[in-house]
Amino acid sequence: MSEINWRRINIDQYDPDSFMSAEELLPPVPPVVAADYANLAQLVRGLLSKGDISQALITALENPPYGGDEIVKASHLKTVLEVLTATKSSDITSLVESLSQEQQTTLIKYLYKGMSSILGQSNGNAGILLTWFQKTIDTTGSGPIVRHISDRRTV
Amino acid sequence: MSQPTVLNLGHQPIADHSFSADHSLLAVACEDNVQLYNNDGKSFTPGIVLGDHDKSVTSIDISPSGRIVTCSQDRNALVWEPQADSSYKPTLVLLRINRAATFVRWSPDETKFAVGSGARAIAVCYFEEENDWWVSKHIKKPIRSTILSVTWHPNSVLIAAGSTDGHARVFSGYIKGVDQKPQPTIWGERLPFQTLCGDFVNHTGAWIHDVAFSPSGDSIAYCAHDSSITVVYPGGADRPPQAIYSVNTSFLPFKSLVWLSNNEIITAGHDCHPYIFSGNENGWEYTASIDDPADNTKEQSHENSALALFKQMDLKGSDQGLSTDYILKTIHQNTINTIRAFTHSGDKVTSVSTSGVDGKVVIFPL
Repeated sequence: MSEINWRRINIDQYDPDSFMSAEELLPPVPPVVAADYANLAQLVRGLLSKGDISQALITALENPPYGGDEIVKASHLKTVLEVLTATKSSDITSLVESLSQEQQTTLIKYLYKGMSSILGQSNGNAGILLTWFQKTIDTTGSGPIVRHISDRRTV
Repeated sequence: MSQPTVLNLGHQPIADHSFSADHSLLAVACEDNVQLYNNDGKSFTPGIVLGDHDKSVTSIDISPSGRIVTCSQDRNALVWEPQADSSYKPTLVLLRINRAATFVRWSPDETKFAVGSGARAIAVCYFEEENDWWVSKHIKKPIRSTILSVTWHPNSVLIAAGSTDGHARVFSGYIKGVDQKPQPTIWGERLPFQTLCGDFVNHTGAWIHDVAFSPSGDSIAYCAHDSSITVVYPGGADRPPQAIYSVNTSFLPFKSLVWLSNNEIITAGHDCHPYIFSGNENGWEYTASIDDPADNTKEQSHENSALALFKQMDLKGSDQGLSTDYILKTIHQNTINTIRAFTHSGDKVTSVSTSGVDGKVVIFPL
C-alpha cells in the first residue's frame, strides 16, 4: 500500500488547460490610458463647479475604465463619488431617468464599489450611496444588479 | 386565449422535459430518474421509470420517431429504444468524458445527437452499424469551459453551443459516412468536423445559458446570466457578423429560449414566467410577457403540504390556514429551467411547454 491516497489526488493540477484565469475570461475591453482619465476628472470637476450635475454624471459614467489597472479605477471611483455626493437627494430620480441603460448599470457598479471602499464609507457618504442605490433600483428594476454581479468587467 | 395547462408532477426540481412528436408521451428528468407520462388527450398518467442513471439526469430529448436520449452527471448518455411491449431498451453511449454531461439534443434528422459536458468538450454521437453501438467524436478546440447548452441547425450538420466563459460558438458536426454533404449556408461552405463557423462573446462575459438557431438557420440567439438576450446575424464565412443585437432587460436572468418564428423569441428563467422578444435584421426589443404577475389578480392554487402547515404553526402559532406571502402570482413557483416549442402552425410556434424547479410542467398557448 502506498502512502498516497490516490483517489484524493487533484488530477486537474496536472492539466494546464483545466482552468481559465480571470484575465482569460475577461471579454475584450478597450485599453485604458491613465492620462485620459485624469483629463476626464478635470472635465467632470469643471462641470460640477458650473453646477451642471447631469452632464457631469453622464461624462463620468460614459466610459468606465474596464481595461485599467487598480490605480486608474480607484481615481475614477473618486471622480464618480464627487459627482454623487454633490447631488441633492431630491434630484436623484430625474437624473437616473435621464441616463441610458448602459450608464444606469455602470452607476450601480460604482454604487457597489463605493460602498465597499473606505472613501465611500467615510464622511457620511454611505448614507448618500444608499439613497442613490434605492432610488436607482426603483427606476431601473433588478436588471442592473444582475449585470453588476454577472459582469466580468469590473469598474 | 385559452388557459395554460398545468401539470403538477411532484416536489422535486425538473431538470428537463420533452414531449414526443405526437404529444402522447412526456418524459421528465427528475433527480436520478426519468419519469414517463402517458397522455390520452385528457390527462397524463405516470408510466414507467427509466432508472439506469446513478447520478442526476441533466437533460433529455425524444426524437421524432420516439427514441429517448438522456444524459447525466454520472458522465453517461443512454439511448432508449421503444420496444413492442412498450418498454424501453437502454443502450450505453461511449461518451469518453471525465466530467458530468450537461445537455443533450437530437439532430433534426435523428442520425446523431450532441452532448455538452463539463469536460470542455461536445461529444457528437452517431450509430455505428457494424459494432451495434453509439460512438462519439469530440469537438474540443477552442472550448475551455463547461458547455451549458447545444442546439442543432436545421441541416443537422451545424451545432451551436453556449458555455460558461461567455462564448456562444457555432461548430460543424459533420460526420463522414453518416451525413450527406451539406448545402453551403451563411455559416460556411466546406465544413469538415470541428470547423469553428462562428465565435461570439457576450459583452459582459456572463454564462451563456441557452442558445438556439432561428427556424431558417441563418441566425442564432442566446440568453446569458446578465439578464440579456442576444441575436446574431452572421455576415458569411470568415467575415465579421452583419449585426449583433443585445437586449438588456430589467428582469432576472433567462435560462432557456425558443424561436417562435424568424422574428420572435420566447424566453424564460428566474422570473418564473415567459417573456417574448421580437425584431429582425434591424433590431430587437422586448414586446410582451406571458402569465405576468402584474396582471394576475387571483392567487395561484397551491398545495397545503403538511410541511408548510407545520411551518405555519411553528413560526406563527397559527393553524388557521396557510399564509400566502410566499406564493408567487405566476403559475410557476420557481425558476423555469426549460422552455420548448409544443405545437406548430405552419412555421410558427403556437404553444410552448415549460418546466422548472417547482416540479411543474406548464403548456402555454400563445
